[in-house]
Amino acid sequence: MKASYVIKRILLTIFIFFVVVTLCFFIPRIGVTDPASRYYPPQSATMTDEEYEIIKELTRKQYGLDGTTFEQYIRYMGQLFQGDLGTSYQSGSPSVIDCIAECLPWTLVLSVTNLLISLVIGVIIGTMAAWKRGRWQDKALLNASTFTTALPSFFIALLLSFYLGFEWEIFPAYTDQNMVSGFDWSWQAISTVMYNAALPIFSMAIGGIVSYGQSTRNSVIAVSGDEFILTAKAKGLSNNKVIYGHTLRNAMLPIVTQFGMNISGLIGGSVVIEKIFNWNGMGTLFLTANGNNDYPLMMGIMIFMSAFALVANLLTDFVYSLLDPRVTLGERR
Amino acid sequence: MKALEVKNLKVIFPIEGGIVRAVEGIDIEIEQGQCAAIVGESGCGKSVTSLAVMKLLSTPPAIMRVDKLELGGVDIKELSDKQMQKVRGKDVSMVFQDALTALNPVMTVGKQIDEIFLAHGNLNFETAGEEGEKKRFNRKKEAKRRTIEALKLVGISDAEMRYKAYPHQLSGGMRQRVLIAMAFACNPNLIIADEPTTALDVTIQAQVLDILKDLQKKQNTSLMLITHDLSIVMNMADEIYVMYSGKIVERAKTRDLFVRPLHPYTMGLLGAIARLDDERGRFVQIPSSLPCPFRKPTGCYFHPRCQYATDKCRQEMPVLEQPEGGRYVRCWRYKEIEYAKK
Repeated sequence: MKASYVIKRILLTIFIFFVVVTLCFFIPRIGVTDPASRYYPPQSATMTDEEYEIIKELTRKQYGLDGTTFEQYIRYMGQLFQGDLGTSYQSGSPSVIDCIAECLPWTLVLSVTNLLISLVIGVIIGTMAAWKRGRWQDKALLNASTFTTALPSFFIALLLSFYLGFEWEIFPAYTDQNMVSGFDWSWQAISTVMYNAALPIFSMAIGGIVSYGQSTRNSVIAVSGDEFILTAKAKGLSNNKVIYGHTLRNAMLPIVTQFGMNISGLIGGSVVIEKIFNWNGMGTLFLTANGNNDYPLMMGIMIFMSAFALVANLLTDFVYSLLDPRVTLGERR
Repeated sequence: MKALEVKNLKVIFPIEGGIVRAVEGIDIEIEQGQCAAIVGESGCGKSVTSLAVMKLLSTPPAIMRVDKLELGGVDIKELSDKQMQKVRGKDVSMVFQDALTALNPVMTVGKQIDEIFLAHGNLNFETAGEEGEKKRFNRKKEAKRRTIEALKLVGISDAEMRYKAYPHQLSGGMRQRVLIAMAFACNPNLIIADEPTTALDVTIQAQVLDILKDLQKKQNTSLMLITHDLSIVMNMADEIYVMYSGKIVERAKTRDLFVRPLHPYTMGLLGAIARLDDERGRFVQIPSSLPCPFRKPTGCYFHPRCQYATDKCRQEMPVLEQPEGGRYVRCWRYKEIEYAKK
């Protein structure tokens, strides 16, 4: 890995980030009449139109919506540069960063657990299916994959919520909001979170497990047909050495790519699931912000998500080059 | 003692609506220290034969039957896969055709050779090298020391540095040398080289063949050379098996075969070799190509391409005749053809 290449990649990432921020800023402002209109106080009978204009101007200033769109943009970028994402329009005017910081851990509880479960179980199942190629284990995985591809995770979530939640009452169909406010790191609180998180995680993990399983299976089968596996066998290595030392090591490379892509979706990937289970995470926060025309909060969330995705992609590239010596970053062949 | 003895080896692959007879009852005998070449076109069953000898064919789908399979006088016919793991790499090893695909791309070549020593090398305190080495004996270090020795043996300069190289960082010739070093690592009785030089350009081919021949003579290893290229066989092999569509059609000492080929197919192959002293101007081709493996012709498999074919050739498979000691030919008309040529 060449240092100049790493620096180039980082600079490019920063550039992309600014493009994203710019788009995030302008797109919500296209075609909207006056974003501040819903915050204007009603015009009382005694107020002249001139006076009312002054009131409106004050309101716009209060919400940072005064001046032309371009002036707002410059102002916003200046704030962003200082690490300030602005204040939310929510009552009490909490800062956007505080809002995100409050919701982020709850989303990560879901998404990180889901990703790890999907990866570990998926890789194990996929390797097994490849090993038993054409037998019932393999066919079961293929059928499961057809099933979960056709059924989106929110539909699975609805089914689980209805049967396991409402009908049989095994897991809570709705998240208990006291879980969030009363969380104090006690064993009791942690187990409550796990109990409440079971259905959302499970409904996402079904698809994840099958997807990792299927790609692992295909990758392992493809690598098993490679000639160096025959070489390894011809050397007289034991089956375990062939599988772990040669097959899996190579078969895992595409899985790393998939994992990297999924990491970038850790924050924004569970919006609908959170809504279904009333989970107090980033997705719910975003939907609420959207419903309230809460521009600073919406932008803050989008900027945060894209920054996270960009960094995840960057790291995946670097990690990949460490795993596969053939990938020499930035060197022309 | 025979390094390899195979009697009546058959390999078939069931496919949808039929079977492919890849190898149809062939016998191979290689004396210790000798080199036997199996020559034939692509698809004639050469590679399947080599894999079958190593018992590396995946069964299923392949089905393998053999009457006798002995390595250095030891019967390996009934050995289980687990028992074969002790034989492979130690008593018999293999050099593959394309070293780039035959080496693990994400593992250094050194580590890939280490694995053989770690699996079979009998790495113990007594076998460790110098006095200093013995003091800090360590299996992995000992394997590395032997690997570097093996790399030097095949003429790789800077062996310590190349030890840490990945396959894609080496040139084609260098990679092939690594494969050869791998094959000779545990000093096996028999090495099977499956088209060892096909992926290389001609100048490198000569170097690699020299190394192979040199090591073979030095270590008195037997060599089974699988190739489609008769010109490289000339300098390497003691005996040649010509294979056609899963059957041996001619078997002879190298000199005899080149001087006086008996089978029309062998004559055709020899006619297709480029020679410096050639005055014919162009090569003689064998018309058409190998028969479709699941619709082989009746009678002699070669008859559709044979200019000497008669009705008998079209109906009956010739038997493998032995016209003189050490020579075999599978042709109804070899005597007439030879007479006509004179």
